[in-house]
Parts: sequence; C-alpha cells; structure tokens
Amino acid sequence: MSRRLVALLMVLLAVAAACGGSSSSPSASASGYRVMATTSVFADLARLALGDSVQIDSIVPAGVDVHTFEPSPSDAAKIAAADLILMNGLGLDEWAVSLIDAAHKGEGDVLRLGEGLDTTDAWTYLASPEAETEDAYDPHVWLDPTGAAHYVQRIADRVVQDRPELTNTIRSASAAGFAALQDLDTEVRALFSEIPEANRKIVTFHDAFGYYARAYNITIVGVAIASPGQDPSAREIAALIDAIRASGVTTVFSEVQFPSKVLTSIAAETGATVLADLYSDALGAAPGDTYLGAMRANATAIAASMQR
Amino acid sequence: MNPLDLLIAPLGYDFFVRALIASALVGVACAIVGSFVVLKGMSFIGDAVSHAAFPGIVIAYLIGAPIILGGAIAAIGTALGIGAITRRSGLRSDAIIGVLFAGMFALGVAIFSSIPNYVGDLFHFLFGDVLGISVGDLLALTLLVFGLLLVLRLLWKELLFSTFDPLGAGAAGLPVRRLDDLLLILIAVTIVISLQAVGIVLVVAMITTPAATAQLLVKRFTAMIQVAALIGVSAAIVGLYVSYSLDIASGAAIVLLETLIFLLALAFTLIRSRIYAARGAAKI
Amino acid sequence: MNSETNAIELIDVTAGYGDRAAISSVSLSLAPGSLTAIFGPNGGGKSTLLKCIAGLMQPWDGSVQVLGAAVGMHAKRVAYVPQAEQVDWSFPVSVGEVVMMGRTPALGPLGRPGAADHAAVSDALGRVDMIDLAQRQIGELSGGQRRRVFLARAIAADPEIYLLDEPVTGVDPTTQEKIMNILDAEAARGRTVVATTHDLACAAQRFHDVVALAGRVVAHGPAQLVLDQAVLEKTYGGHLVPLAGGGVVLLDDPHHSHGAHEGHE
Repeated sequence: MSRRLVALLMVLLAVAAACGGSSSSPSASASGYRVMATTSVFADLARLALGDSVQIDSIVPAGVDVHTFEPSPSDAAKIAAADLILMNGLGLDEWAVSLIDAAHKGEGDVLRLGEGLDTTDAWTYLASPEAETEDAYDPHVWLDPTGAAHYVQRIADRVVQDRPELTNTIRSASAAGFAALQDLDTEVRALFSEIPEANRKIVTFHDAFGYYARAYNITIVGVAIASPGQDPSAREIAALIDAIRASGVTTVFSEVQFPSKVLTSIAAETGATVLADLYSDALGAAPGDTYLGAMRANATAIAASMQR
Repeated sequence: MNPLDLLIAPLGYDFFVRALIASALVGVACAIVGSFVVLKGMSFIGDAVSHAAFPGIVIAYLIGAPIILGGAIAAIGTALGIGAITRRSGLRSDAIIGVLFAGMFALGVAIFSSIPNYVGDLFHFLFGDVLGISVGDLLALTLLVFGLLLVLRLLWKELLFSTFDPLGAGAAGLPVRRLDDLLLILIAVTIVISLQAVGIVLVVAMITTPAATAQLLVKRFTAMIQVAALIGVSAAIVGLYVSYSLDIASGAAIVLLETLIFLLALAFTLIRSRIYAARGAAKI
Repeated sequence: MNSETNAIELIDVTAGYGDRAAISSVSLSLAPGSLTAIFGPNGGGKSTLLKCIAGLMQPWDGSVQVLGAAVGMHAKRVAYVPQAEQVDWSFPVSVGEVVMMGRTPALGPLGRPGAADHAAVSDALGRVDMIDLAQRQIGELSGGQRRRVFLARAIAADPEIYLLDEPVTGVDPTTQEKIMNILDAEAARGRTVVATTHDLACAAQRFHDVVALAGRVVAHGPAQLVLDQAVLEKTYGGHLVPLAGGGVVLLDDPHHSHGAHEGHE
C-alpha cells in the first residue's frame, strides 16, 4: 500500500511541477537553450527577463522549503541538461553546488544571482540573522522588487552574452519585465503609505522579509523560527509572544512551504490570527504562481493585516 | 532574578503550561506501564513498538488522517505480532523483534523520504513537539491517560497474578494469553500517546528508566509503581523547566534527569549493601 | 459420564512439546478424597500430565475431564502449585500478596479483597506456619518457606483439586512433614490431591495411591506399589543398578533429564 501511495504522490508532484510553470512552448525548444533555476521564484524572474525565447525550469517543487531541500539524483540529471544554472547563493541554496559537481558543470555555467551586488554601490546587504556561511548576508534579496530587478538584469545580460542572436527578443522581454517590476513597486509603496507607520508591524515565520521591510518601512516585530529546519526553543517562543503582545500585532504570517503547530499555538495565546499566505522562498498556486502575483498577494495580505 | 521568578515566569505562557501538563501526564503513564514492562523484561519490545509506530504516523500524515490513529494501528499491530510470534516460536526471540523493529522503521523512513516537505516534521516525530501541543491535543491526551489508568486499576490483580505466575494464573482460570495481549496493547497505546511529548527515540527511556529505578529502591510492586510514577512526574516537570532555562530539547532534558536519578539510586543501593555487608562482617 | 465418581478423568490422552509426545495414551481416573503421587523418570511426562489436568496444555489426543466437565470449565475450583524453579523469586511481592493471589478466582473480575478474603489468607498462612512472615518479600525466604507460601496460596483458594508439581522435592524433613500433613488433611476433607514427586520414600509413606508414569501409565494403585521391584523396573528401566547383596539402587537425579525436557516452562 505504501508503494502505491508513493507512486501516487510522485504523479501528483509531477503534475504540480508541470503546472507550477515550466514553460516549454514550441518556440522555446527551438532555440535549444535551457535554463534551470533552483526555485520557482528565480524561474519566474527568468521568464520576466527572457520571455518565451528559452526553456526555463526549476528544481525545488512547489510548496517545498528551499533552505532544507534535499535534492535527489534525478535533479542532477536536470542540471546536466541545462545550459545555464540560476541559483541565489548567499547560503540559500548551497545544496545546488553538489548537484552541479555531480553533473560535471562548472562555475562558468552558474549564475549566482544574489552575490556581488554591492560591488557597484547598487545594493546594500543586510546582515543575516543566522550566519551559516562566511557571507553572513541575508539572502532574500529578491523580495525587494528593486533587488528582483537586479536579478532580471543579470539573467538577461548573461543569456544575451551566450546567445547573441536572441538579443532583440530578450531585450524587449526584459524591458517589459522591468516596467512590470516598477509598477509593482509603485503600487506596493502606495499601498503601505496609506498606513500610519506605527501600524506597520508584522510577524513572519522566518526571517525572509528584511529587504522588503527596509524597502517599505515596515517593522518586523519577530519571527517564529530563527533558521529553517530548527524548532524554536521554549524561551524563543516566550520572547516572541512577549514581542507580539507588546507591539499589538494582530496577524502572524505562516508561509506557503512551512506547516507549523508552534505558530498556531503562539497565535492562539496572543489572540492573533494566523494567515498562511505569504510567499517568500517559493511560489505557489495562483495567484501566487508568478513573482508579480505573489508579491501583490503578499502586499494585500500584509496591508490588510496592518489595518485590523 | 530570584528563584521564584524562574519558576513562575514560564507559567505565564499558555504553551508552557500545556507542555508541562502533557509532559507530566506522559511521565506518569509511561512510568506505570513501564513497571510491568521492566518486570516482564520487555524493554526491547517497548523500543521496537515505538519505532514501529513510525510508518503508521507517516502514512496518516500523508493521507491527512489523525496521526495518533495511524501510529496506534502500526504500534498495536506490531505489539500483537511480536506477542504472537513469541508464543509460536516458544522463545523470547530477540532476533525476530529486532527484525520487525528495524523493518518497520525503515519503511517509515522510506515513505517519509519520498515526501518533499519541511524536514522539521521528521524531527517532531523522532523527538517530540511538546511545545506545539494544542488544547485539543492535551484534552485527548488527558482522556487517554485516565482511560489507561482506569483499565490498569480495574484489572490490577489479574495483571499482577498473570505477570508473576502465568502457570498458576492460567490454571486458576485467568485468560493469560488475552491479558498478555492486553498488556501489549496498553504498552502500544501509552507509547503512541507519548510520542508527541517525547518522540519515538526517547519514549522507551520514559518507560524503562523510572521503573528500573523504582525496582532498585523498593520491594513491593505497588510501591514500585508509585515510586516510578513519582519519578516520571518530577522528571517531566523539572526537565521542562531545565529545557526552558538552558534552551535544550525538552524530551532529552527529561530523559537525562531520569537517567541521573537512576544513577543516584544505583549508587545509593550499592553503598547501602556495602554498609550492610560491613555490619554483617563486623558482627562475626 | 462418571461425573460424581471421579474428580479427574483422563481418557487416552497424548500430549507433548514440538513433535515429541511426553505422554501417550494415558488413561487415569482419580476419585475425590484421593491423595495420589505421580512418580517416574525425568522425561516421563509427570509435569506434562499435571499441566494437562490444569488446562495449561492442550492434549493432542484424548479427553481430560475435571469435576465432571471439560478441563478449564471449573478452573476456579482447581489450584496449581508450580515447581519452585519456575517462579520469579525476585518479583517484588510479599508473602501475603502471593497468598492473596489465590483468592483471584473467588473475587471475580472486578472484585476487591474484603474481610472474608483477608481471613482466608490469614487462615492459610496460619496453617503453613507463615503468619509472621506475611510482609516478607518472597526472595528473602528459604527454600522450604517458599514451598509453603505457594501451598498457602492454594489453600486460600479453597479448591476441590490440588495439583502440585514437585511439592516436596529438595525440602528439609520438617517442611516436608508440614506439607504432607496439610495435604493429608485436605484429602481427608474430600479434596482431590495429586502431586508429582521424585521422592519414592515419601510417596510410599505419605501418599494413599501412586501412579507410575514413564510416558505411559505403568501402574496405578496403592502406595506400596512404589516399592514393587517389577513396577520399578518397568518404570525406571536402565536407572536401576543392582547391588551385590541383592536389591537395587535407583539412580534418578531430579535435575538430570534423559533425552528431552519435561517442559520446564
């Protein structure tokens, strides 16, 4: 019985992955260039950068946490078949490195989207709350649309370099992408500016929203878990409860890929409501199946919670 | 920070109070059932059953059924299976128990590893998630523990007779085989309801250690159960406070305390027998 | 069905362990008030026979009737005293608690011990001279005292049938005397007493009847049969060693078993 369940699960995952958004339209396979991103977020940003001109896929399935993802041998095969590998770096998806080695790819095949953005003063990193690598930077750069725009730029530049014949298609696609990101940023900014600063407080599940909070002047009162994969200790839970009570926050946000009883019990104790629809490291079902949709959904949910 | 603060402060949090009650209940239930387990030499079976619950839990989790139900089915099934195999083979077969133990657990791991999901849940199954216990969970736990104790109280003399002298009990008309099976079921149920508090890996310690300690200290079964229960409750409560102060996993803190108590009791009995021996020699 | 004449009735019973029969085609009738010793070599089936009567073993063939009904129907009226080796003496129970276990059939499933039960326990302990040791943990008792505790447990149950496996083997003469006196008294009251033993002298002197068992019933009759050389030869076979001046010596170490166990489980 268990084998049938596993098989069923595999089928469901395959279907979900297919719906999750690998765009293999006829024209894409014609160019023959394949991009493999670690997560659905980066795959969608790649779509904003490149449009339909190339085939784009991602490894981590929908609804799965990228921090603690365990790749399987078949994922190495996907990497082996790719021309360009997109990863975030900064400690988010280091598991990709072993896959890249296993697929006999090298550093030249990889684009570490989040790293080295500060070399041109274009970007300032925040410190990582839980330093796992020597970088000790918060890796969640893409949650700030400005950061996402950097990612789109890099992806476009790189593919143009690899496939100059696609330059026009890519440049027009990414121009549209930038415009969309700009619109998003303007929209979200306007949304939050209607809320008095004193009310701009949220509690999230893990520390993903540092850059987001910086961009829109929001205070993160606390997070449920310091690092994904580890439970909060009793004292950490107590501290979070105190922080929530002191700040008057009425909503705690779970995230699409994290089931949690602890959050439910924290919310119950403080009278807060648990909302499970923030997109951080992964996309989900519509409307959160694209970066723009996810960011809009986040903003709406967060703004609404602040007005309670 | 005065000592009283240390005690009272955590009680201001509902989650901690629930965790405290749950741990205490589990401590009592495991210690009492554990007294039978230790006297019958069934600690290995206890460990096997707790690991065997894992595939049941994982499958229940997969299909969205209550986890306790899945765990209970797997645990009770394995417990009764061990009983049946032990009877058929006529010996207490360590090898057969070991095979079932490892096989069931591996099945659980295999199924679990095929789920792409938040790995924290595996940790919860293995080591407990007492800080996440909800009011509903606690109510269910309370009911189950009281049910368990009620059954034990009602069938006390039958279980005692049958555990001590199965031949005599059988000849006197007691249904020894069914009592054995009942005990296995009670062990399995105790293990499953304790899993949320301490997890699969440590529940065997909750069952074995307080009872083994009590056995060192007292010479009556009733006293043994009472001492074991007392140790179970105290270690659970103190252990939870310790885990709060030192930021360590609560299940581990409780088990470490119980082990410490055991070692102290052991030292005490060894010293005591030395003293008696010396007195005896002095008299000669 | 001679339900009123015989307390215990075995008809053509065959039973054993694994694939080896310990007893074959055993037919036996024991009347109320009888005091019977079953003797024979190790592996001869003495314990097996007793367990069949007690309902602890299923015969492969034949039928066992106890008190006029199928074995097990009247289990509450039967008391079984196991061999000393089969008891866990380190179990944390006191003398008094063990004897109280004998009251379990009388108490029923949800019963709690009452005045009558405590009285029965005291009586039983008094009869075996163990009242003073009621609070002692059983591991602290001497061999003879241990035997008496289990006898007291049987007495407390007030059974109609006593089944005792090696009740006097390895005990001192005083204890043996006390135990046999009690069994005598019980038989005199109309109870049926059956015991297995290696002690042929005791069997001859203190029991009314004997059964010689060597896988099959060799003889069943008055106690003097145990001294009959022909019976002994048929029962013990190669265990008999002739002496120079005539007569024989029986070598039968109770802990030495020929071929198979008598089921020491």
